[in-house]
Amino acid sequence: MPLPGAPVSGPIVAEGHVIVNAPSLGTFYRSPKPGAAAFTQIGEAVDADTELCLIEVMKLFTTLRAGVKGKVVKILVEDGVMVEYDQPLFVIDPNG
Amino acid sequence: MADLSPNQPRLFVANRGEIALRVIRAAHALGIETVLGVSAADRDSPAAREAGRAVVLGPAPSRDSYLNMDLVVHAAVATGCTLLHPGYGFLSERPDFAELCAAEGLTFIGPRAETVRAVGDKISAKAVADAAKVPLTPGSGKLLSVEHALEVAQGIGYPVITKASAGGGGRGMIVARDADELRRAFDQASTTAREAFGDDTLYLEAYVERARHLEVQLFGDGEGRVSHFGERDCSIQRRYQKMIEEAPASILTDDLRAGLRAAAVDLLASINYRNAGTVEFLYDEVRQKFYFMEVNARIQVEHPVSEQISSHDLIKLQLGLALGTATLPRQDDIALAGHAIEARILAEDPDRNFMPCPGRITRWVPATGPGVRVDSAVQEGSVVPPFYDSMVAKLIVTGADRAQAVARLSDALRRFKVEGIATNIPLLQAIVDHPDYRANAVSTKWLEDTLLPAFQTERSE
Repeated sequence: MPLPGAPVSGPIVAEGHVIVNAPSLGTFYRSPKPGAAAFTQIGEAVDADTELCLIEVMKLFTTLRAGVKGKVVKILVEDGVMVEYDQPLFVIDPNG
Repeated sequence: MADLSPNQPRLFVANRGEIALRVIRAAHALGIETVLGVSAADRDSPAAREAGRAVVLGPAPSRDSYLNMDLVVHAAVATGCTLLHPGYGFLSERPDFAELCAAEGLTFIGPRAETVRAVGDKISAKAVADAAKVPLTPGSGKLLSVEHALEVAQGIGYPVITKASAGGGGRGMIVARDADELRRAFDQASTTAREAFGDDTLYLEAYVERARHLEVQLFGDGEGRVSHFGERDCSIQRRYQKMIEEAPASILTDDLRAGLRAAAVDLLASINYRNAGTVEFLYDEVRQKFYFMEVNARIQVEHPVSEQISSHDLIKLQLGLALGTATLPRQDDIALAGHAIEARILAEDPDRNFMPCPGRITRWVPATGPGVRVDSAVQEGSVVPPFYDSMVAKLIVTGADRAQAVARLSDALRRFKVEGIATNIPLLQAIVDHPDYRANAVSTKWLEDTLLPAFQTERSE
């Protein structure tokens, strides 16, 4: 009885690109509060300490930072969905 | 989640290993969808493959995955689950977890949180038992000091045993045969209890020299009606961990058996117990008296032996009662027949002081045959991770009587082949083939005091 919603097979990543994974299971939020602008968009430049998203577990929000300097090339998850521990969320091109 | 079917009951399984697989299969047989929360170490486990969906809660260590209440409840709610089965161990007996589930709209499959709390603390559980007129081991309330302990012991008579109020698993339990021993035991047990449970409260009980561990399997409807599914004898233990369990308890006379079952039913009925539970007793074979030990407010590892003699699927009953699709069977509708024995197959090496032996299973040939059942969640190629309990399978045999069940267990153990990891199968074989076990002349200390020394001597020669 397979249920929908499970993450499909891992993303195909170009050589040299860096994947940012979920540090925890939780709900994935692309903006600091409902209606606010997203932390980041595809094509934007990021630094290691740029905030990418929030992960919420039972009302407790954790900020996820890029951890690397580069350009966001892919966002793999829709805003507001549950992500699993270690699930790929963003792809960053360090040479972008 | 929008893409999930509405009004379809969906169950979150908050456990791992054989019990997770057992719950998943029972749920699917009842048309209930399942989501399993796993650690990163279990993402490719058989239970994860059979679940409707498996979600990775966190990294391998239990505290970051299976024991993290917030992660578990968040995952259950976010995947659209309406029910949660906690299995045994992990979060199954945490009243705050049951409360959190209720607060988030999840039906916790088990007793009410207040029940879990009332019977979870041993001193409060004894008060509940006492109020229901269930016999208690002569003992004390909370000990205030060494002097208090000495005074209480004088009244009970030696030997006595210290126990931790918040405890379990044998920690904080020390036997003292005189006042000097009790002074030492008190200090040592307080320290152990403080380190293990963050609470050094102790109490004292009379120590029974020849004890059997007996327990009654029960279910309650939550409104005061309780039915039992017979009793089990779980006296084959090492360090208070059960290794072989059987049903029924053949040593009991009909009168004692009826008394034991009635005491257990009365206890749970007095607290309007809901769903599956077990009342554990210490049976003093010399005095032919049983004393209340504790209530386990969950399904237990050894529930299959009760299923085998009652022909009821207890996991399906748990699910059906929680969903309201089943009613609690009346006592008259629970016919008990035959004899069943469960042996726990552990990834532990009895030749190396029971060292856990995680690793890859290169050969896995579980026993089959008439009256043989194996509950496990491993197969050839499975990796037994080093992070969790060492149990890899439960071998359950059923016969018309104890002698037939014992013979089948011995045969089944001989045919059970496991390679790649060491297991306790050779020890189980030695137990089952021993004249004392065949004659049912064992106690809770028999394995450690009689069998193991002989087994170890023989194996080292």
